[in-house]
Amino acid sequence: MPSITKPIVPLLDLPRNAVGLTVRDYEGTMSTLCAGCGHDSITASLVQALWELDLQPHMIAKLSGIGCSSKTTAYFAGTAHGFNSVHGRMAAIATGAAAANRDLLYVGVSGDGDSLSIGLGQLMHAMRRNVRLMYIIENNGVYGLTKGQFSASADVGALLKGGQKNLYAPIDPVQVGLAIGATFLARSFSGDKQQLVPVLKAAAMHRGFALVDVLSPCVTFNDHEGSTKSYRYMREHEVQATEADFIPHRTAVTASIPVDGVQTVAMHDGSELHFRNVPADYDPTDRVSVMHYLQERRDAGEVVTGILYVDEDAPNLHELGNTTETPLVKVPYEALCPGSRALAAVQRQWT
Amino acid sequence: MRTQIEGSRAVARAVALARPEVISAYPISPQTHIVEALSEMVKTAELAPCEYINVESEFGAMSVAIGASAAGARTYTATASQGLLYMAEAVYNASGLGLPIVMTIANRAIGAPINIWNDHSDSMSQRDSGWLQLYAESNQEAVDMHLQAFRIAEELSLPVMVCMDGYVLTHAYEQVDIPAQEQVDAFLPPFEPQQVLDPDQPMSIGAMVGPEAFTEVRYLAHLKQMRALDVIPEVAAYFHTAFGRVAGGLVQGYRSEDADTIVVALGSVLGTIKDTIDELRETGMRIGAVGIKTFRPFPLAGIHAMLGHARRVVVVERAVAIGIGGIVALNVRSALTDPAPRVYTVVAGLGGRAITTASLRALFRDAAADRLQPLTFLDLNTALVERELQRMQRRRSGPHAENMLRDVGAIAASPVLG
Ligand SMILES: Cc1ncc(C[n+]2csc(CCOP(=O)(O)OP(=O)(O)O)c2C)c(N)n1
Ligand code: SF4
Ligand SMILES: [Mg+2]
Repeated sequence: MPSITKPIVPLLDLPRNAVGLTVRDYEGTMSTLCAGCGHDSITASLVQALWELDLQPHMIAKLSGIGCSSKTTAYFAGTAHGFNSVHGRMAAIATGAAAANRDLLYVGVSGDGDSLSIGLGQLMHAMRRNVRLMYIIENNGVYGLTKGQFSASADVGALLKGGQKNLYAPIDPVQVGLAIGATFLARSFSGDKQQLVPVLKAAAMHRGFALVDVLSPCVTFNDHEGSTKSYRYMREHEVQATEADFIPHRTAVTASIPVDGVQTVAMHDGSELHFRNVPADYDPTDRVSVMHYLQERRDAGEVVTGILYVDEDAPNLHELGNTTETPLVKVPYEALCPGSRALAAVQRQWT
Repeated sequence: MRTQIEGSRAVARAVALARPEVISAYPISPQTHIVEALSEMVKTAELAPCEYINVESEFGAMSVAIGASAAGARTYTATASQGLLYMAEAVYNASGLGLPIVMTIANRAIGAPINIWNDHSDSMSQRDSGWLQLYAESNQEAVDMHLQAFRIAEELSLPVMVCMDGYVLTHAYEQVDIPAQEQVDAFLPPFEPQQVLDPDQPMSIGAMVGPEAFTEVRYLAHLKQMRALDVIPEVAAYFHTAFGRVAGGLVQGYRSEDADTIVVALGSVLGTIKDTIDELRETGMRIGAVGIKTFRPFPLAGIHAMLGHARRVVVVERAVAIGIGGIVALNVRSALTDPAPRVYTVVAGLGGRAITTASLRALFRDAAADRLQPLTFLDLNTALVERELQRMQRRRSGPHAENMLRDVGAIAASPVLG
């Protein structure tokens, strides 16, 4: 698929972040998605979040599966590493990459079909291994790329453009994650950049698997009356469960002054998450209270958004595997294979 | 009734006329229109009784089909490309269990690099899976082959793949004769399974077989395919009587009886090949074609009979066996006995590259003059390959696909790699 380079428009006065880059340096090639597609707004939020995090593009690896959503890795961080994999297999490929090089930030972009239909098994196992991977599901309830069939996230009773009704229970990745021990779970809406940018920043800084389920309307196949993934439906049914501020490490000193009613979660790199306006009986660090709340609100027909659950203490893939701090790709051969003498010494322990 | 219709829709109509009871599928281009049309027919009860199961993957699609067929239902599915590869384990299961499932393959290339266009790499990868494989030349033949496929499958208790070129056929609008339901009912008797999960006669399917009988079970599968060499022409002949059309069978010749040079191919490219042959015949060249309609079982005797007299055989194939060259050509060679004609392998039309009459004309002229290499990649841009080989002299030359796209200007030069 040929890609379209963006024209270079000199914008001299764009602000620069701590690594000297402008927000445009986090863009990619021109999007070829339909005008108005929710996925493009998510791309814009990602560009903003990565810029605000002062990340070096060459320390980012973007991975995706197959779908309109999976095409979007081409549209941000154009100078980062990229891996467009096969349908539903991105989580496993990212697991392999993360195992070999723990220094990179892995940003996975997928769709509801890619993640919840064909790729559900891979997704669940990456969650339980707690791979350090920010995993974004651009969720539109349909397979956009193959022209609008229902995916596994479609709600019961939702209608396709042609009037066909979905009869099967939806798979909610956040509830799946809660059930199998995922350590960072968030939901947002492509049309709410104000919420989405901080959510993405927190997800990127999480020490393990961070799932961000972003409702992202497909304007071509699923944005009509009767759809439960349309712009209109989201505007009418979205309920923010939590408002969270992401306070990056370097500003932590001023921001961590205790404020009434604010629950603070310390992230492993020293950043903090400040939860404001959290409903009574809801604790974003308590799995059971979150499960309970989500089920209740879902039964009431609401789409709950925000950073819904965080566990910054659970060990990640590397801690579970007891691997070295040095990324495996950088461990010298002599260290990986200390030779027959070292092996003989080890074996002597059992003779 | 003759109507102007898209290939996919025509096939969907044919499948519906065969009255399948369970259909399970996962969408993938260029198969999607077929299964969408079928799901619509199930929805509107135009196709009833039938259960359409919108599964979560191709692995699910074939597994559901296995269950449905074992429970005694006439079962259908369709896929292409990556989808067929993803289903591969279950594909072997279906044939190993002897379940007469019919599956359409809307032929498409397989990745990496990802490519959505037509070639035969997908179905060719499953050629030894134990399924019968039929290749349609036109949309009419695709319709006719599907009707025959159910009959062949059920008679032999073996699954059948009907392969049709993605886009070239699936997305082309043509005049197609869609038979009437009564005609099809008369041609295709209700499904009488050879083995079935019947509550009145409990049995188990899927036994573990060790060395004591594994070879014999496998040999039997081969024997059943050998029987298909008789059944397929019989069904084609019966079809001819019932519908008045020649379709399917094992092999079909075109101006080949007196030809020195015979082109062998399968699928829709036969149309272009025949046009080119007609042109070259005008110039006095003795050239003809043989179309392979059934690739599995491979019709050794039929090929031998049709090619034995030729001086040379040009096999034009839309797939490549990396590390050796032709797939079809290897099979064709094994049908020829000494003194055998020379066999040229031509790999053409990979990943949707057009096979034009101009290229074929030049190719056949070279073949007739014995100027061809034993293995030719039609219209290969050798300069592009050379330049990538040059780049590869650097250890970290990067991914070939991206480098070559950048080279031909399909993606912009990267600021990093230059
Ligand atoms: C193994 C396999 N099966 C089917 C397909 C066809 N296919 C491509 S994308 C897609 C679904 C994409 O849906 P989703 O992940 O929700 O992405 P969207 O286009 O909606 O953003 C399908 C079924 C494929 N590429 N590979
Ligand atoms: S088909 Fe839907 S998901 Fe795909 S680009 Fe268009 S609007 Fe977006
Ligand atoms: Mg989708």
